[in-house]
Amino acid sequence: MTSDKSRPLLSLLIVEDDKMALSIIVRMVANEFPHCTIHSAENGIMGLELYKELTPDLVITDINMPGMGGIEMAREIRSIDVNARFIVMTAYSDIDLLEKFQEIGFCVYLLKPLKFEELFAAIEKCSKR
Amino acid sequence: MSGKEHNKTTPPAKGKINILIVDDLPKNLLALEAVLSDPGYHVVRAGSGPEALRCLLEEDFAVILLDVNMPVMGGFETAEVIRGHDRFRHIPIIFITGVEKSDIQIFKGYSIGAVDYILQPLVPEILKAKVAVFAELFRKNSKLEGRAQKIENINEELKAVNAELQETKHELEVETAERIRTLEELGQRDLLIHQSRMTAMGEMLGNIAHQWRQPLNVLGLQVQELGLSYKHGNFSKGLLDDNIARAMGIIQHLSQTIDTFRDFLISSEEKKPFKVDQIIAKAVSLVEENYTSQGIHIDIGSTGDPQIIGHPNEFGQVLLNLLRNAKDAMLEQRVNDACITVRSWAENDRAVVTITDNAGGIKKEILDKIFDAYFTTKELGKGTGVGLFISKNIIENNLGGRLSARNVEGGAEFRIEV
Repeated sequence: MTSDKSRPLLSLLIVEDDKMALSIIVRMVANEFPHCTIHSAENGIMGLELYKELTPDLVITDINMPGMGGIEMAREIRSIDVNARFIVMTAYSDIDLLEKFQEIGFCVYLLKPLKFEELFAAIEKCSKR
Repeated sequence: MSGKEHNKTTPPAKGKINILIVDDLPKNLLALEAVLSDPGYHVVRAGSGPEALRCLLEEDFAVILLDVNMPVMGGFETAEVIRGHDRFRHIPIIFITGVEKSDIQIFKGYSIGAVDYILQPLVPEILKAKVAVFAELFRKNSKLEGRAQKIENINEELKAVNAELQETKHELEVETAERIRTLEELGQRDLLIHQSRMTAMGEMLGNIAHQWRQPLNVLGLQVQELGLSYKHGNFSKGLLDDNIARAMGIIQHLSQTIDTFRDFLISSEEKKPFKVDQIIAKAVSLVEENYTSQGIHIDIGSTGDPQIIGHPNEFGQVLLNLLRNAKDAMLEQRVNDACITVRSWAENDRAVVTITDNAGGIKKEILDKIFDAYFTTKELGKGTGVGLFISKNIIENNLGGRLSARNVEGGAEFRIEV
């Protein structure tokens, strides 16, 4: 799936506490969407700070993270930006946490282990305004 | 014949019928005896009223032939005494007199209760016939009384047997109830222990799920990276080798994880010396991921490298039970900065481990009940109430140690001493 040059520039924020997973995701998303600006954070606090600073178009986040988790972060972000969009990545064992995230509102949720095809499709879907 | 029970009618010796003759004159007694000589009779002589009374006390009589004129205690007087006595009241009395022949005297005799009043000289045949009537009456009465007695005896026996049966029935009922209760308890106990094992297994699966979540995700990402890199034209041998090495590292880690879990679930193995700290590290590694994701920190500290001889896995099982207990308490109390502190040390050749939470402690009222089987404060379906019971059993019965609990500042402390 090569990029469509006519598409408006998209900025993404990826939040994931597993460093190795984060680096691969960032690399692969960058390959797939070369025109996107990609920011990354290893936990909710960093993610929230970056969001405040950069107001990305789309946030891709894990739920279960030490310190501030995905849900708390998303709740804070929602309180400052009603238009914030989220793609949620979660393990099946944390699926009950998804209900809490539903109250905040998200665009797509993806089950871990993550499939890049699904992630790319979700980014495509959620970037359409 | 003394010593017989006086309140019962005694059949005469060898089937003979007792007849009492009372007269102060021996010749009269002799004459009466002669008249009444009969193989069916046993004639007892009494020379006075008092003597007659003595005889009455010793034997049962079919009839009394009583002389009216006797010194000291006359016939009428004697008859009155006899009539006044419950036991003798019904013995027929025949008065015999050669002197008191007036109608007044005869009337007096009947009024005292005489059945007959015979005047001297006696007509032997008449006297014989009259005595025979009373003898026959006595025989029939005795038979009836004997039968009544037999029936009474049978009745008594039946009553006794019935009472025995009632008692046996009651005993059986008690025993049966006890057996049923024991069976129920055993069944319930087995069921609870089974439930507890299933809970432990479920918890283990949960722990494995948590431990595998991230590595599996990363492994998947790495495999996909190879394909995507190839597709985008930036695939290289370096990337391939790199990803294979990392993937193998992760696979190794996953493999070790299930080995550790499996080791913990296998129960029977030989008793051997083991290092307490190793088992603590293993147990904590099994649950840490899971607990961390629920906001619970585990802090380990040890000195003196304590050792125990026994089944390491059983000891590990106890640690897991106590860790789970602490975790559940903190989730229930919604503790902020939840922390389980695990400390181990050697003390006088004994190994001591304490597991302390900061969930506020155990209520005083239940502190002495928490190790009881089936005791739980958790919601229905969440606790089986056997975790601590089994833990205490393992530590005290299998390892010969002691497991106790107390409240410390901020929470509860469980202490294992082996």
